[in-house]
Amino acid sequence: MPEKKRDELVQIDYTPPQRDWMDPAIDFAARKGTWSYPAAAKNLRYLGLPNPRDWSPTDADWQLPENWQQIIHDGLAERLTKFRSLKLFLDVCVRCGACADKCHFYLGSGDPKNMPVLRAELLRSVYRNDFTTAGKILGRVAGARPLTPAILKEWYYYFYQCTECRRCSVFCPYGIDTAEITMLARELLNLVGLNINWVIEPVANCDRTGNHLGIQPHTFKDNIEFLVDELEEVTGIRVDPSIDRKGAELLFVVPSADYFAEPGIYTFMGYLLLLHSLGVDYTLSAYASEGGNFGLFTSNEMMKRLNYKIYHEARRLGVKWILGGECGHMWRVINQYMDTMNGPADFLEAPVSPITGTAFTNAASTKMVHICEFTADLIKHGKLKLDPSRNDHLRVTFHDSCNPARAMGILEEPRYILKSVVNNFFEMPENTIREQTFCCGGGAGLGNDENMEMRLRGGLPRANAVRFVHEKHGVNLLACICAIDRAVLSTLMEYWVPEVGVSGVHELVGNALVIEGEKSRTTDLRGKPLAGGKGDADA
Amino acid sequence: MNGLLNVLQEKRKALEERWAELVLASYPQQSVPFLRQERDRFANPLGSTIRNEIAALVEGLLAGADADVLATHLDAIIRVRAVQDFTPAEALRFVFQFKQAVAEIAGDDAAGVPAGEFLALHARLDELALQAFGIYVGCRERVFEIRAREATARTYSLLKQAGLLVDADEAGGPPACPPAEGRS
Repeated sequence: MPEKKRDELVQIDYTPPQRDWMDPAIDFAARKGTWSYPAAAKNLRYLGLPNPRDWSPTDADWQLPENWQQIIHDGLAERLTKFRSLKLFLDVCVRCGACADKCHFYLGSGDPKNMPVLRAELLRSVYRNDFTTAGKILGRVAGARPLTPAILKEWYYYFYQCTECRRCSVFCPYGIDTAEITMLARELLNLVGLNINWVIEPVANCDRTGNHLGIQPHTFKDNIEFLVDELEEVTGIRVDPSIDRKGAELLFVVPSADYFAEPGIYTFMGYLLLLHSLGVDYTLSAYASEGGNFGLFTSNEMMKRLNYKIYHEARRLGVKWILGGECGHMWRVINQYMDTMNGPADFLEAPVSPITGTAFTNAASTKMVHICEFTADLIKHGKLKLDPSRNDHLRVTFHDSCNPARAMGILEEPRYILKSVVNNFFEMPENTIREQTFCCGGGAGLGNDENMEMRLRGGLPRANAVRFVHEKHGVNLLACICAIDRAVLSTLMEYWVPEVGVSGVHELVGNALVIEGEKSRTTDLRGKPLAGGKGDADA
Repeated sequence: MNGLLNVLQEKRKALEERWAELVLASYPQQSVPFLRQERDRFANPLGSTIRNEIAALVEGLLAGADADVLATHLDAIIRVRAVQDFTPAEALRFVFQFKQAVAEIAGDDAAGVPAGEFLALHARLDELALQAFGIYVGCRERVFEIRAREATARTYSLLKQAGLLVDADEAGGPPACPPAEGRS
């Protein structure tokens, strides 16, 4: 082969053409698997949200209201006055790039518009155009762009590609909460009827029946009884949780996935065993039957509306305080927004553990205690008899769920519990846990199956760290304290690290908990045999 | 070892780097510097996976490693690219870019190498490409299996808990098989 010809042969440039980020053109039909289906008209109608219609992002015409640009402009103007934080976040960013490479979607996709700074810039550029002098005069030179249909479509694509996990905020020197930019952008999109069904349907269901799936009180009761039966089969213990019982000391609120879907149901069994073994006076509520609050992913008004139901039920049932299960974003709503939305909950009492007498002063205003705080306190005071060897078939690592970690700072309690109930615990690398934890890729309403490829991309950084501890320590279980995590991480593991399963922390507590009168345990709560024929000498 | 492999072995580092560069260039230009420069494998899983697995592939190809060894490294790269914004052709183009890297890196040093040695290497690469095709299809199938499993599991649990299903166990027959591993 003549040398010249060989050189010519290899002169092929495969580099993708560089496009100006300011001129978007999202081809939804070509990008299946990376966006979520729009909200069904019936759900928007039920909630009284604007522009209910049947449409698809692949349609050329999105059937927007005629004056949609004005609606968005006015909506942004209103929010800039109402939320000082929004104006600050839009003005103060110097585009230093500290957040750029911190988003799991960016790390998994390489798409620059998944950089938090650029995602925010999609909104900021329109803000500059409409509201700043420099933007009005200098236009594109000042990073300003008028809102066009193509830009609106780009908003829909990228603001529903942010899980509001707030990892980027940890690294921002100005403390910009990019999740709040996404939240406000979604509020604006909602004004013209651009929302996703996986958010709006749970909101509509939650508003009507009290939980995301639309489970009615009698089915709620059936579900609980089903799990009580299953639990009795494994442990020989018949627990008796009450529902809607007035005068109970505590209202116990859990994410609905904990009582209807695997693997959450095993976590729920763990809660029930724990509370039963201590004789805690608690009740579940068939209406406050959902910890999750997809209003957080819709609008501040919707978040307030759904949050209120929990406190309304607490008041109606006359409980002293509220115990909350292993839910994720519920804790962001409770810790960062509840007090100014529906608080202070001064009709409740400041939470005190009925078993140890510990006052949970951190929850003095919200009156709501995380079950990991409750259980860690029990263990610290030696109130639980635990046999961690019952979890010896498991080699466990812990995924800090974004909201409890970054919005609540609950970092030590789950670890303290895990180290007490399992013998084999291994941490993932430092820059992937605690405040720097990587999102599961399915939060903020993105955990639907049509969005699968985006979820798998977004989950790569988390799965990558799990793979590391799997290979290094033989880890076979990823524990977490969030219902969305339990669902989304299970799928994530199936694709990236199929050798690793997913559980809640209280499932492992339930396994290890030694209870008077229980039968000799031969299996864990899932019915899997214990290590080394364990069980004969128990209890 | 033949002449071509000798030349490539001597320049292995450069070959690895060039091939990885070519793969990284398939990502948007604004992202390439980050993907290339950040060396922490947890801070940059995508860039690290490509760099490390490409290096392992080069080593394997030059050393005549078994197909299953090569498959492990191919899988790591393809599993990522199979869920990214690529057409199937774009996702797998990287395999063939090895030829470009070899031509560029070997350069004049390979001028005297008999054509047969190139053919042998290319035949090996063809095998790799066929393996890659299988892995890619496997990953895509996995994505859809997972989607189907999510939908089935959700419906099945609800029906069962609502008491709308009676399995063979409860009906007094032989034990029922759960719908999938670990699910019932």
